[in-house]
Amino acid sequence: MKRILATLLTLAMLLSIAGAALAEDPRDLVYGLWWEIHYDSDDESWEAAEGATGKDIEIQQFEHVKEVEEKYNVKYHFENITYSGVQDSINNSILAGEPDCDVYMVELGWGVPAAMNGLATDLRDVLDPDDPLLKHEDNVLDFVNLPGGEVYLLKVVDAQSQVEATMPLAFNLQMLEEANLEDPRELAERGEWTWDKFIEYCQALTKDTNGDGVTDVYGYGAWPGDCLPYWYMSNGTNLAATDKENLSSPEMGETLKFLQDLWLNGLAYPVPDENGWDICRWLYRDKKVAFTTSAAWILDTNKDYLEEPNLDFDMVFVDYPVGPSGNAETNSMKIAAGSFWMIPAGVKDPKLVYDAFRAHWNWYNDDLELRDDPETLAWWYESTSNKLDLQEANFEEMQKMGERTMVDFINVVIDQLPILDFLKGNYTPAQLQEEYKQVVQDALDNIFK
Amino acid sequence: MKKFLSWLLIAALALGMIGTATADTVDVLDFEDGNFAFIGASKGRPNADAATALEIVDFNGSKALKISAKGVACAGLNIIGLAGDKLADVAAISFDIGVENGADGKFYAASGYVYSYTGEAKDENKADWSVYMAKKNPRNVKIDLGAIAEDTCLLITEEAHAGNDAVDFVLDNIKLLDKDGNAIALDPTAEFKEAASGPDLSNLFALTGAVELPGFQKAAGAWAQDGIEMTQEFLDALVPGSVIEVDYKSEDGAMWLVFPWASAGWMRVGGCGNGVDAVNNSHTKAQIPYELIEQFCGEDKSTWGAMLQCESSTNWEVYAVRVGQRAKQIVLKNAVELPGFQKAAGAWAQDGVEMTEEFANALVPGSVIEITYASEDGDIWLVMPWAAAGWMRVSQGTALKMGGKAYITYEEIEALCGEDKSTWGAMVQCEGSSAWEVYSVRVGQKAEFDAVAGAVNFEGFSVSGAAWAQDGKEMPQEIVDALVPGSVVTISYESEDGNIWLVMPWAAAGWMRVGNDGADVADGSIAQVTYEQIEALCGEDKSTWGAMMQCEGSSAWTVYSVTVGQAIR
Repeated sequence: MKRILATLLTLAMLLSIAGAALAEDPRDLVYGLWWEIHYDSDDESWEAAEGATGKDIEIQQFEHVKEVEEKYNVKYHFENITYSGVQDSINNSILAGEPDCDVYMVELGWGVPAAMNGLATDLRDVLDPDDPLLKHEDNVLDFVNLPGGEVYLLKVVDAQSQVEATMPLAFNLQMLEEANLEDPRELAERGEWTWDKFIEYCQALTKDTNGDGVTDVYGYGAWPGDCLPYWYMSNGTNLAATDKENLSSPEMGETLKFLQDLWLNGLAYPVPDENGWDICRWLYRDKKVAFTTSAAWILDTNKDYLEEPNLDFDMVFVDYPVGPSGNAETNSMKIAAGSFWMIPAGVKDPKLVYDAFRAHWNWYNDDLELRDDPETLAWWYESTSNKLDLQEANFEEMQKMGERTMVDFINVVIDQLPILDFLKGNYTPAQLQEEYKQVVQDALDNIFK
Repeated sequence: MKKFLSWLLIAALALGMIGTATADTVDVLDFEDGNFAFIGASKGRPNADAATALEIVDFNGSKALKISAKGVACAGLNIIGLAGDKLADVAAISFDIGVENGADGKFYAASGYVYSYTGEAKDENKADWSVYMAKKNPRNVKIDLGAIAEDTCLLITEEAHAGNDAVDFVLDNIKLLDKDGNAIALDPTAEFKEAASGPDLSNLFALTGAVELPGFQKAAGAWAQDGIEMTQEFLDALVPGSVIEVDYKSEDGAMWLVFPWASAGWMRVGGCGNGVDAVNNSHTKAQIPYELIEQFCGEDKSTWGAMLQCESSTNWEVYAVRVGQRAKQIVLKNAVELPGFQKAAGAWAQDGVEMTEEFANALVPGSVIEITYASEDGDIWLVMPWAAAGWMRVSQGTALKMGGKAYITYEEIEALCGEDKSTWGAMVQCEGSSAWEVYSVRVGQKAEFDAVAGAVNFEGFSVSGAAWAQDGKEMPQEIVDALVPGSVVTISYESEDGNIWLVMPWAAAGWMRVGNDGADVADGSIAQVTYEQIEALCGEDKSTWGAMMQCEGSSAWTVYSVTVGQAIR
């Protein structure tokens, strides 16, 4: 009996040792970027993040790392390999078949060409076809729409990333009420908020208030560099979203004519030759315009509504009206901006990489209220209005815009387009399209070559 | 037989010469012999750390060249001397590059650039390098090169790194390659010498009528003094409104004067609690105003003693000392060039061009004409030959001159040629009492840089942005403390259109730009915004300005450094 017990004990010990030997070491995942991100497997406490004060959210994010490590048997590291280092690594190590990193942070201007040239993993080949990511229904990550439908470039989803970098159409609520004009948000609800209706509103709101023959209030005013993409998106089109220029398209021609008519017919505030952007963005403050293209940061610049409001009227965000070639349901409403992530081609077990990466960002464990904690987002609410209902409404408008993001390389080329001259009537739409379509194409060739 | 032996001898000599030529060149620079004369610290980039240091070290099993700096390390490579008559064959450079671990023993990724200058216009080309993984440290980098321009070198910098501190990098196995990838024979005796450029006058006054103190080439250790007796000519020029300027180097950048024979007692001036001197950003020139000496040594100059010494808190060397009348460095704003004014003539000969309409329109009350020139005796002035008031010399012998430029105001012309500008005539000429050459003439609104003492460096303020984008840092306490009435924020920068200004985004008075209304003084590489300018917009109470200080420009911009110091007025 003793011998049997001893044998059994020895066997048990041997099996235990064998089991331990067979258990895999954690996979080391490296996420290459050019700044510091916390938290990861290298952080020993929540204090590792600069400026951390021990808030619950920080502690939760720190402790979540261990959960990811245990669930996926990984250690993961956000490595600052410098901006040049990221591009160097992408261009060299992926081609060599041994990517240095398992995930890279990229910018669209060079991330798209890298991905289109085969350096990224298409997640359609990795994920289940019903995966919410592939339908833009994931709460944690989303992907950038590319011409061929590829799923290469990921963006972390949270309310802040949706609302940031949006420039909604904003109107002076009281000005419209005094003019007995229906709230355009109601029109948008009914599908009646169109370019034609917008022109009617501008005609009603453009006024010479003191009868001296000089217009004092314009229906619309904006810096053309800010508003141009939103107007062509409202017409269902783009300028530089694919490897082929779209300046010469009929839809862009419609958009150009619409905008030029607004300005040449005196319905939009004349853009000054100098400091135009500085003047146009804040026209609303002096009630010189009824509608404008604005942003949370513009309203915050002078603390219009934060703390003690400086303005005696409300600015309300609304959809851009729909152009003749647009569609209220499908129009894009925001140009993709910021940084994105890609899983390089040739990475080992891309499914594990994706799952672990996604799990890191899901520190809130699908609790969207925690993710979008109003306390964290307070500034986004409070900067646009001092009234709770308008704060909510304006936030929702920005969020809606963020949900309809498209890639467009307008920022690479807009400085080369004579938009101000065009709005003064120095080009017809056709002339502008013809003379500058190659400029846009050249810019795209530089990106997509 | 004799003929055969002669030919054999000639052939042997010829082979020997070829052998000798080959033995003097190398295919790769591997630093095994400790020689690195062909590469040196360079100030060729605006953001280069003047204290970039080079030394031979052991790295990865062989000798290598370590390049280190606290800021942006910048080394210049004499590619022209190395390649010699093979320069036209150079198509690429390759080298091994690695980074040393940080002070904590950890690896930190680093990256930088190789700048080359090509073509007649010396177009700048920028290629990046990076060492981003510990397992790929060092690594080989190959950079394609175009036709290298005359009088240029390659600049190799380290400009980005993980972690907080700059990373030392090492170079090894430098090769120049031809279009087929073959190594080109290099002359390792080539030496790197920085091309002469204008002196660094940041934070300083311009000096006029300067008098040198001959023989003041001295060196000493930390806290040791040395100097010479002031000559009578030097003493005569040391008057109210003058400043003593010292050309020097010291390990910690500090330098001040000592008056050991002063009746008021052995006296340091310009350091160690006895005032603060103005020092340029590269810590190679220091200026001590007459009034500061007077403050510590007494009003009566005759009691200061004849001996003038220098001293520093570290080993130091002084190359020259001079005294001159101080003038604020002038920068033209909204400058308009007079095209075609590249003229030269002998003593008392005139030459010039007719004013263009644009130039004439910019020549208005308050404007100043700037002449960039050289002349044997240093003098230059204007001549208005078609003035209705008569052929007229303007500011002969009296034009304000500094740094190779002369400045003549609208009012000086008006005083001689009359109030009605239309009667001055279109022709503008230069003339001098010795042979002269003018390189350019411009007119613009005059702005002046303050000389600044006690400049405090705003650590880490090295940021960049696109047009109309802002970036900056929260002010540390030493910067807040330095921002007092009379202080000046000095920005070292580059921007496409030359503009830069401050933004105080957290000011209680509202998000505020300061200096973008033309009030700032900027010359395309240095800009100054005063405390009073900030106060005028953000309010008298500095505590309401907010902790964040940013820069912004109307075109893409890069800020290399920001300092805050007291204007010497």
